[in-house]
Amino acid sequence: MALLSIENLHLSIPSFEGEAQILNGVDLSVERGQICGLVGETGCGKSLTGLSVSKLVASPPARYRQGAIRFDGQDILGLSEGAMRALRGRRIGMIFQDPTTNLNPLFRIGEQMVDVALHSMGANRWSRSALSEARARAIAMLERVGIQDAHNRLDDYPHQFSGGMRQRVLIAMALIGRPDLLIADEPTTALDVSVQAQILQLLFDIVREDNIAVLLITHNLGVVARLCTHVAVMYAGRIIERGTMADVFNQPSHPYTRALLNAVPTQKTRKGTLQGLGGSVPDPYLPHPGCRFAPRCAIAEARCRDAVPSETDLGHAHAVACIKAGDPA
Amino acid sequence: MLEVKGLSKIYPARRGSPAVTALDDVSFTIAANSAFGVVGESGSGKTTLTRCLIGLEQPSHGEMLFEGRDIARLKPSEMREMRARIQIVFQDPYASLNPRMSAQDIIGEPLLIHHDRLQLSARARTDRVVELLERVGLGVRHLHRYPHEFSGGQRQRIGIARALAVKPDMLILDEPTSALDVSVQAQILNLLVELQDSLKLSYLFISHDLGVVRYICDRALLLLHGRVIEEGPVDQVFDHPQSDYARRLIAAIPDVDPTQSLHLAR
Repeated sequence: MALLSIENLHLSIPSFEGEAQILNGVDLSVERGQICGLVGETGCGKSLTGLSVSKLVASPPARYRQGAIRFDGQDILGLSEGAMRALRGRRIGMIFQDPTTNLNPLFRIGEQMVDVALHSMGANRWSRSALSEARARAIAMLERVGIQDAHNRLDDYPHQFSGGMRQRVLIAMALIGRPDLLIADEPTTALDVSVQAQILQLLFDIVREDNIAVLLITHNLGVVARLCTHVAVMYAGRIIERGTMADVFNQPSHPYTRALLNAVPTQKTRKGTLQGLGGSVPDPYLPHPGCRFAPRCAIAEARCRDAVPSETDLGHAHAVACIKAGDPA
Repeated sequence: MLEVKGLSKIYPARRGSPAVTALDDVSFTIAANSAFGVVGESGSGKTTLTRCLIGLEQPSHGEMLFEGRDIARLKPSEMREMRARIQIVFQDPYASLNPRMSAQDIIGEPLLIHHDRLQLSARARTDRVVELLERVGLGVRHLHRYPHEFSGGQRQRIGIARALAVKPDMLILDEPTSALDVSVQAQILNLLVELQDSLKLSYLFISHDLGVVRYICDRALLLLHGRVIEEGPVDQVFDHPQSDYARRLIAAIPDVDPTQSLHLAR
């Protein structure tokens, strides 16, 4: 069974304008050793899917109307906050986008890492032996993510590290409890390309050595091509295409996936020929019937607006939610 | 159109911190109606270069000749005139538009600032703003809207319209698409290509996205610690880089190409 499986997840958040339908039946599974890229435009629900897995969406006000999230067989949505705290940082690690805002500027790096290490060990600061064990783990983990002279750098403050180094510290923190699942939300967006390449290589090595599962949330399709084994394309709160990275990138079967791939300029793109995608993501307050992508879709027909398309299996775990997927091109 | 010769900028040493050479002997030429890319990582001097070009910093050495006149040696009144010829579009469309001004006020502001030269009546200014909105793919209906009512891509269109208001010859584009989704980025890039063609503009395009630079630009230069590492036509810079640094940087860019997967490298 998959380490993480999200089944038909629906999430809505009430606001003054009505009930925003954020997730509309997300189906996704990630196994150990897999790096699953979750891609899509801003506002399609990628981040809220990631936050839901670690149960960090305040509920209420948010409501999970249907569906389940299973992590190693346990139903995450049914767990108490106490049980969830035992999972976070120990079995589920998280890395967020901005390395500058996710470290407390007033505390030394070592202190912040030791706190996480102690939490993952189930110990507190009053035990001398636990404290020195936590410190040793922090040093070992910093060395592993490529921070030189780690035992001296534990006493440095976040501002003494560069952006790439801070992101390494956050990765070290996420991994210090030896999690089984890592959720990385745009982990390299704020970084330079050469630093990004190092961080991608680091994540790749960690997955290979520790056999963990990664859910990588990003809008950078190049990052997905380089790092991910699998990819799930999200639109308006649903996965509209999923499969192995090679299958989805080589034979994109949903018009939205094709549009996203065509929007990235590559070596061969001639000036003035780049294909943009008009329109914007649909209003979560006023969901229209049928395929959510139909208003922006180049090949939409009348029948696309009738019902939400179900997933068509294309074989090899490649699935697409488009009624025209089976049609001859 | 623009010729930069031996440009250097040294921030002098202060107590406790040594002198910083932000730009070191940078030279390049931008031909009329061409797009020139400046690529570099953080700290490479891209921002210092633009600040010098728009007169926010005085270079330590070197010349920046815009149609033969050195930008750094202009009198304040000449600098005002120069600023109408070189306009800038900023990276973050969320931070570079005043949230308390309507689209009309934002795009019309440069027309007011340069009023003594342009001499447009209030009526003519409104007409010009509408014309600009249509130019960038928006319309009259957007005239009285405020920045929060626009999406990221629409905001960047407003930033471009504002830069075009005073009919400049050259635009400095400072990472104009890095805050946008790829689908929207493609629209903005196509808009920029179309505008360059129809208005005969020159671009100085600053970016760390080599794919975008390659798509938009004719020539490019690569900066590292304030020095020019590579300079030439984009095909040459990207396909046949001379320096190790350029080769490493180009290899580090993740292409949307499944054959680049780390899982295939053994």
